[in-house]
Amino acid sequence: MRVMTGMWSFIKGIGMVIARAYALAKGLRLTLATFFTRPVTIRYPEHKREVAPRWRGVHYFDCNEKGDTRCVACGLCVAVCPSQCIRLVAVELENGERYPETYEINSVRCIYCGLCAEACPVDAIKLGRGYEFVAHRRQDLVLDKERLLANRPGGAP
Amino acid sequence: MSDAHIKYTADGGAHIKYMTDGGAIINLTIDGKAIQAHAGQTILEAARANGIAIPTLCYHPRLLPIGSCRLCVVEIEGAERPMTACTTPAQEGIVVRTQTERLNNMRRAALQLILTYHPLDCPQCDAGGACELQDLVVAFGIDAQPYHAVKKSQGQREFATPLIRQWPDRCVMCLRCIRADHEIVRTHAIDLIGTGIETEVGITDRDACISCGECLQVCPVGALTEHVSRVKARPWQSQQVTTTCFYCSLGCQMELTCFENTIVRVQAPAHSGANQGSLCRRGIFGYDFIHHPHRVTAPMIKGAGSWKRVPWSEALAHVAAMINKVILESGPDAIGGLISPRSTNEEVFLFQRFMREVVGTHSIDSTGRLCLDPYRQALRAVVGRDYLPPTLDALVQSDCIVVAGGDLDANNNIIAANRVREALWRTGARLIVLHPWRGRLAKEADCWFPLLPGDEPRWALGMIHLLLEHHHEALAAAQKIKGFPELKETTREFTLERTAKEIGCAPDLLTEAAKLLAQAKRPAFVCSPPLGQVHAGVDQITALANLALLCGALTGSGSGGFHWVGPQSNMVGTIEMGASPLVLPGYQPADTKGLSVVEMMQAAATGRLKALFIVGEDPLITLPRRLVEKGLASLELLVLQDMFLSETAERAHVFLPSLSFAESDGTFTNCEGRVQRLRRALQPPADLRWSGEVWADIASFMDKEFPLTSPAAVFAEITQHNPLYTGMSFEPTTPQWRGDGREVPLDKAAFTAFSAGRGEHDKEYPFALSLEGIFENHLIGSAQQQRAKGLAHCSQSYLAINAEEAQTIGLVANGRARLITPWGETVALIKTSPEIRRDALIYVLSFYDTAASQLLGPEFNPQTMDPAYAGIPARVEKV
Ligand code: SF4
Ligand code: SF4
Ligand code: SF4
Ligand code: SF4
Ligand code: SF4
Ligand code: FES
Repeated sequence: MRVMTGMWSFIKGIGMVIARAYALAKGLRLTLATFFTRPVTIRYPEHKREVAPRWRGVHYFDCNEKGDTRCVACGLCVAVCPSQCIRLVAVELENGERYPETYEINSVRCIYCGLCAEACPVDAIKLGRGYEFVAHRRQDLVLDKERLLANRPGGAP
Repeated sequence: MSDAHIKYTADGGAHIKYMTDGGAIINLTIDGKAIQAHAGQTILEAARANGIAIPTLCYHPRLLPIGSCRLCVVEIEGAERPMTACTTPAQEGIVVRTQTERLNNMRRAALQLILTYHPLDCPQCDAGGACELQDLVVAFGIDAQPYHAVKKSQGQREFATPLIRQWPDRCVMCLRCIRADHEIVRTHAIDLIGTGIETEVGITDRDACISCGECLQVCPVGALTEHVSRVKARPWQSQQVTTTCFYCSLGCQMELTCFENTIVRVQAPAHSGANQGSLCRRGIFGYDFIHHPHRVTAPMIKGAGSWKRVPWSEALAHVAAMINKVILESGPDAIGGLISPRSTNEEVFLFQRFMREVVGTHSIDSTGRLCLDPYRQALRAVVGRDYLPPTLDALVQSDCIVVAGGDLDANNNIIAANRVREALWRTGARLIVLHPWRGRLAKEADCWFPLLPGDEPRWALGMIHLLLEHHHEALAAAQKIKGFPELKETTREFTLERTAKEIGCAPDLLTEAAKLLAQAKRPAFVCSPPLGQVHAGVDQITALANLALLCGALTGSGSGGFHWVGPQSNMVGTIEMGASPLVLPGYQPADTKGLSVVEMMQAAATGRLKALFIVGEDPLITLPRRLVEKGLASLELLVLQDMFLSETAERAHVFLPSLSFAESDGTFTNCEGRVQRLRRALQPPADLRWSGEVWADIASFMDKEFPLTSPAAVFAEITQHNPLYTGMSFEPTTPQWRGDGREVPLDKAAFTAFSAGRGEHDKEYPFALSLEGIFENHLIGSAQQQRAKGLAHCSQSYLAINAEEAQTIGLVANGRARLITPWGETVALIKTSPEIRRDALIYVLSFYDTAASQLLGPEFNPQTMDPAYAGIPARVEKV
């Protein structure tokens, strides 16, 4: 009886070792496999990721032929914005045109839904492909007219 | 329309009858609902009154319907074709359907036709988001329109007034603007011009436009836009606050549209206040001064000739120390207070408490009292009361109206248009105008008396004489009134010939006017400054009040009333809260009389008055300049509390900034005694404080007890202490009037003696000059410091003179002339007219002219202690 018991525990021990070795190999398989493939991470900021075609990034203003914003200060983006992060001060110029004297998007409060761009009747405000915005103060993340124009894909006019 | 509903008038104009006196009840069915209506109501009105919606565009509740847009079409059982609900009277038993496929197709087609020429301009349009056309198009789900036509775009242009822009492309030809101009203000400045497809709303008489903005308020789309505020805000960006106009004492209710703590637009709510949807140019366009860059936002102390900004505590401690010093050295009577009649009831109540209880002086006054007191004292004498019950609405029902004093159109076009002319066109009322110049209203009058200011008592005596002689049977009721025999005796000698000769008018005119007054069942009198502003101002009004009493204008309900309107919003409240050297709050007589403002200036000049605390007043430009200059120069302490550095501020020692009306909370009492709310619409600039807090702080620096409270709490206190305001609420749900009685108890009324004397004519000064236009922008800036830029666009001071006289002197119209009185002179722009009395001059002030106060004499009326603003001896010379 005692011998039998010894055998059993020996076999059991071997089984355990095999099982553990298998588990180890299984665990390492992905590591090992990945070890020999090309890395998925990129060397940011030297290298930058391409975003999806329908990506909604930081806003920009499209400009008219005079190089100023195309915005006519209609206020529709203000009305539609669900996070109420657009501030618009519309003025009427002497020639009767409406003009955004102040236009600010708080890019921290914005949820990048893109509704403003959809509402804009003159295609002035758009969501760009940019996603890099960091600053030490929240205030610096409020995009004003000048910064929105500078954010255009081609850069400042 | 049935005849019962509209009254067509001789000139082709028409007016809708007030619905309140509706005809018999009729029954009809609309959309399966049995409803009741008054005979004479249209189907549209009946439907709306019962909560049934019918789309409209050209209809406006204040205007006569024209049935042009055809959106309100309804089907009536038995009628072949659909009818326009806005013009079809409701009739007994008709069955109306408002929502059928056919009707909606018609409506859709009508809208699409309108859209044919309509630019897709909504993003750029000022009306976007608050446009009736936009709403309709959305409601009918129109996203395309099949018709195409080209019309040259016209962009925008100046409308009849530079304060309104017109965008002809956006016009939907509803003609509401033209109807408002013709039916409400009746200026006929605009009309349809052109023919066929070229027809458009055009300006027919630019000079006739009074910039009332009535057309702007009724335009359903963005074809007319306001041109005062540069900043524009969509409805979803702005808030609306209902408050009371702070300019004149009609106290119109207005809605301020505020965006980012800026007022961007003013409108009138449809059915409230005395204005019922109308505003005058001051109210609708005169708000921009609040945001003027010269506004002072910090207390200042003058040192070495220049102002230094200091913290509140320093400024107030300084004021307290100086007041204490003066009290110690010369007693409290060496201190005086002057408070603006544009302060709230709460402010005035606190200020007079501060002066009377903390400082200990009764020398407290207001320029509002100068205007109001002649009227009040005349009423005291004739009806034994300080005020009359609210009866402005009765004016519309009157059948003979006497307008005395200033040019009512200029002083208050709402009373002139919506009340007096309403009565003319509605009940065919007769009109008698007393004014040296035949202005617009005088031209519409049956009798125009070109009276010199101060001749009213003689005119009244002559009229009374005529009435008693030829129409005594019509005056039976008056014969029982006390003083009748004496009146008869006094007027005996004022025969037709004598009166006509003395006041310089045709005898027939007097006979005619007497006839009109005698025939009138509900005669009414409307007075406005400068009535009461001549040397014997109380007599002037007493005379008219006697005449009014005689012909039954003062006998309570059913009479036309004796109305008065003044130039400053809370002048009535200011006196009723006790800002007067003569009376305590609620017209309770004061035991000790203080000094009036004129006496204060005299006392200051002689060194008896050492300190003056001025709240919101600018005496240098509103009172005789010499007198004020001398007075102010000798003061030890002049504290000025105002929004801007006024003319007077140059002489002040301490300047305390104050809140604008849009930043204040409180109440105003209007000329009829309506107590109305001022609501805080804007946050005051940082660090600015309510006057109540300022005075409480000064008191505590003086080591005196003075409560620190809120406007609401002060109002509650007023209702406790002022018997006229008992039981009133700070947030009333219905209009409230001060005082209890609606009826004038005739028992105290009595005919009262008055003098009809006239000053001697000075050969050197052949003209009698009156200053008018003090309604215009008074106290919000002088001609030199125009702070309401919008109004500055459309008003200018000028001197009106008879054309022939001008020619004799050698003056050219629109040129300049030197205006000289015994006390000063100025150079003024000249306007000539053949219809001005030859010996009268009218100096119409827009923005208080700094020069005007130089023309005023230092003598004052001993009864009211008023300087004279009319009947000033003057002459004119070439420059
Ligand atoms: S919707 Fe477009 S045009 Fe209108 S305010 Fe916004 S950005 Fe300007
Ligand atoms: S008037 Fe109305 S519909 Fe026309 S452009 Fe303006 S907002 Fe749009
Ligand atoms: S502002 Fe008044 S007076 Fe002028 S056109 Fe419009 S309605 Fe007529
Ligand atoms: S301007 Fe306005 S109110 Fe006048 S007709 Fe055109 S749309 Fe109507
Ligand atoms: S100034 Fe007088 S009439 Fe004009 S809006 Fe104001 S309260 Fe009304
Ligand atoms: S509202 Fe009736 S036709 Fe225009």
